[in-house]
Amino acid sequence: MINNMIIHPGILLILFGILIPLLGDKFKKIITFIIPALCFILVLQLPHGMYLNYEYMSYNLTFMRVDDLSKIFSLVFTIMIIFSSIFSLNQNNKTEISTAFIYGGSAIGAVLSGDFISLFVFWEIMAISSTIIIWMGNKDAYKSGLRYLTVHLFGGVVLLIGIIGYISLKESIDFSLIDNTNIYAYLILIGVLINAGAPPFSGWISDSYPSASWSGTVFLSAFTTKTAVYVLIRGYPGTELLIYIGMFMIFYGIVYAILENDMRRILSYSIINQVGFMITGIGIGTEMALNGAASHAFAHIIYKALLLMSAGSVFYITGKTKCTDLGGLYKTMPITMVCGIIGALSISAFPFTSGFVTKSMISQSAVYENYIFIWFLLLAASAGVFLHAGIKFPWFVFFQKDAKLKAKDPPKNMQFAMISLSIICILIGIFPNILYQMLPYDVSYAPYTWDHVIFQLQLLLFSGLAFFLMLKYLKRTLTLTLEFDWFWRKFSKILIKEFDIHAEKTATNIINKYIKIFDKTIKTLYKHHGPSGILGRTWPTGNMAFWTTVILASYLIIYLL
Amino acid sequence: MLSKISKRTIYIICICLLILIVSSDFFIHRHSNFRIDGYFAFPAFFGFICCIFLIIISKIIGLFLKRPDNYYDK
Repeated sequence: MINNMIIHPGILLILFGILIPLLGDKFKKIITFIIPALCFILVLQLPHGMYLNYEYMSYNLTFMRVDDLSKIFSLVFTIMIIFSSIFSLNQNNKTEISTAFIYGGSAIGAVLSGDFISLFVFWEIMAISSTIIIWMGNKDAYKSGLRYLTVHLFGGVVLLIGIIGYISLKESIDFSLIDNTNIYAYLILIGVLINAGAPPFSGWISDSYPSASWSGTVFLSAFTTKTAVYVLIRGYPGTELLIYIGMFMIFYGIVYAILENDMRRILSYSIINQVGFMITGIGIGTEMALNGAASHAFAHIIYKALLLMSAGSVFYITGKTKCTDLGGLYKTMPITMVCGIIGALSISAFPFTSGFVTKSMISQSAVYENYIFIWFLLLAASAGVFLHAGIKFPWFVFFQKDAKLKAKDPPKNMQFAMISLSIICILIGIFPNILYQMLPYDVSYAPYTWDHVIFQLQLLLFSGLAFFLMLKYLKRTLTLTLEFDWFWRKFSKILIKEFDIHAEKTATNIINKYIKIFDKTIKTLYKHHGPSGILGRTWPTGNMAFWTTVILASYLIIYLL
Repeated sequence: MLSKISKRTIYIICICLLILIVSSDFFIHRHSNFRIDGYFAFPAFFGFICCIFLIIISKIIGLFLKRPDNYYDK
């Protein structure tokens, strides 16, 4: 862990995550404050370069590759852990925070890895620890956690096959720009895209995240998908296929979020939607687009955590997550409402919030690369984001009808976490250079021009108008919407049932047939060897004497001849 | 619920805001990337139409794919 006084922040977090269950309650609270903060400082002062190199089975592992790209991701991961830990202090389940440390630590580890092998190891630790976090949730959590684990282990296997092939092809384990002219590069891509929530495996996000506990969902929202985005930025910039995958995810997220009733599932769908923006940016692949993808990931982690904290607070206080049960909370939970609205405005890229200064870089790079159609679709998607997350979430949770729920704002530590993240969202929105100077490439983009601000305001405000005009068509119903995961949640069951009926018939037929053959054999044997069978019955001695005489006689005759 | 008067005030403020933001196109020349997006009130119009379109598409998809929310538990 320590090598020339360089401490690996991810491994530090993992170690303390393992230690937490062994410590007393009081000590535990201090650690949940101090260790993530320490990691933040560690990441901040990391000098660029390659550290912690080890020789293992003739491979040269690099546990820390520090450059602008890995630094910005590990920085936002540590910020995320700091505030989510503060938010989750009231969580009675102590396993969750310890697993969350391991989860966050392995995400930082994956982002800092300089080679495929350590990347893969941290990748799998992430899959397992996040599954445990999901299992800490409600009664559905066990099943959806298993489904989550299955998808991720499958993705892990595909990734591993790709990595092994790629290493043997290139004879090097360095992970940098991936040469995608061979099949192994595409296997790695598939493995990574499964973690990013790309189709047809998008279902796991909206299936598993909302079944975690009120604090668990906050931890889950940040790491898995964004680590995948990091790997894509590093390995596959400018792969045109990614533009179309990204576009699909954007609209998939919007449509399903519009139809959804559970507030945490709405926000989960909007994760797919936002990751779609990043992946589109990576597909465009210019310096500006990659800057846009990285900065959007940064901003997204913060405002998505904020939104899920606001939703988590509502869940913590009222015990309800369905829009049909919620409403009118603006009177009783004003701070949660304000923070939720700030998060909602940020995700919609409202001027003077963090989304505005990051998302616009992606769409502007589409202009420069002359992707006209993509630009218009991104524009439509921006309007759609405001529709499904920007207004829908606050409106149905905090306004709409008065559901007459007894509620109050959550405890002080939860308020502190939400207010801090709101401040970060607005701070980045007003002073974008704080974020821009950390980006991997030089930024020559100025988000605040009059026409850009007015353009965005017109777009968003009239999307808002459309929302309220169409409100009666958006009435929430007690429904879910089928996704790709229907194929393995329902269709496979039907298939098994169907085959089960036939299989039983076939099995009985086959067994009956063999039983018949067996019976027949036994009967034949009995016929010949049984008590009255020709080979089984006792022969009279006279018979034997007769045959002996015959043989001897024939022998005599042959001799005499 | 908000009282009737304050509700009306909110409506009036919102409508004024919408009118204000569209009419700003008269005073500020917006730079256009692909010509069509430089037209008067293009973003407002485009945002509005797209949202309505998205809601309609969602509704149509919902017709086919919506199920009661205990669908998987049965």
